[in-house]
Amino acid sequence: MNKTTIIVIAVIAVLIIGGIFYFTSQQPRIETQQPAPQQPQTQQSQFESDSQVFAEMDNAANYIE
Amino acid sequence: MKKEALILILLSVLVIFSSYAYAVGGSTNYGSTTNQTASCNDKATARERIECRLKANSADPAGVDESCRVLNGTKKDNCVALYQASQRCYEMTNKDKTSCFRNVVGLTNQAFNEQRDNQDAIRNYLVLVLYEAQERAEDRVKAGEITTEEGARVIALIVETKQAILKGESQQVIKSKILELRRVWNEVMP
Repeated sequence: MNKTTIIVIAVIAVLIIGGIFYFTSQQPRIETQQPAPQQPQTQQSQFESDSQVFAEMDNAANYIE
Repeated sequence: MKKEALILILLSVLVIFSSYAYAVGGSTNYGSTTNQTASCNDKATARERIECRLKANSADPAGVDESCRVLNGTKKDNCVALYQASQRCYEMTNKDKTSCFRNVVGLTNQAFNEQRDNQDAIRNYLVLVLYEAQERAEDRVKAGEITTEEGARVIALIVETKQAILKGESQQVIKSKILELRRVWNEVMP
């Protein structure tokens, strides 16, 4: 192989490795996005059971006008 | 020598594009069920579409929740954006989850009574709570605790309720739908 071929292969190898790093780093970055800062907690519900989910539905529905 | 280099370049380009296609396909989680799920959209009723997707074990490939399908223009865009923004919340538990919902819709953790002027936010919050119930129903179908038909029955009612909220129906209409949903839920869920 001549010098030009080696350079071309090296450039392509860098592109491939760079591409793999780019794509593998994208997904975890999205998944680990932090939620925005939250307000002081004064009125919160829990969703431990189905009945709590329905209770929260009723609670929110009471304030729809 | 030149021919050998050309083949190497072509192979390398192929590898680059293959890795790109793999990464894009992997991040959407649709994989091989895309065509099957896309065909679910051809079904006539919401319940049939929901049942079809439950059987395919996949979401709408376009990422449009069934409840957003009846909306048009900005309302539809806002509906799709609401689901996308709230996805991270469903990985959380209990108080973190409800705080996340409130955060996404623009409510604080104060009582609803103090935020009743923000009607759009309260409606969107209720949509997200209903989506929580939908997730629970889907999980039970996946776990084999209920059939896809039972799951579709419950989820279709959830979708109807969400649509009523998003279309601006009155409190009375929304409450009656929640009541009906609760009745069917108690009938179907183990």
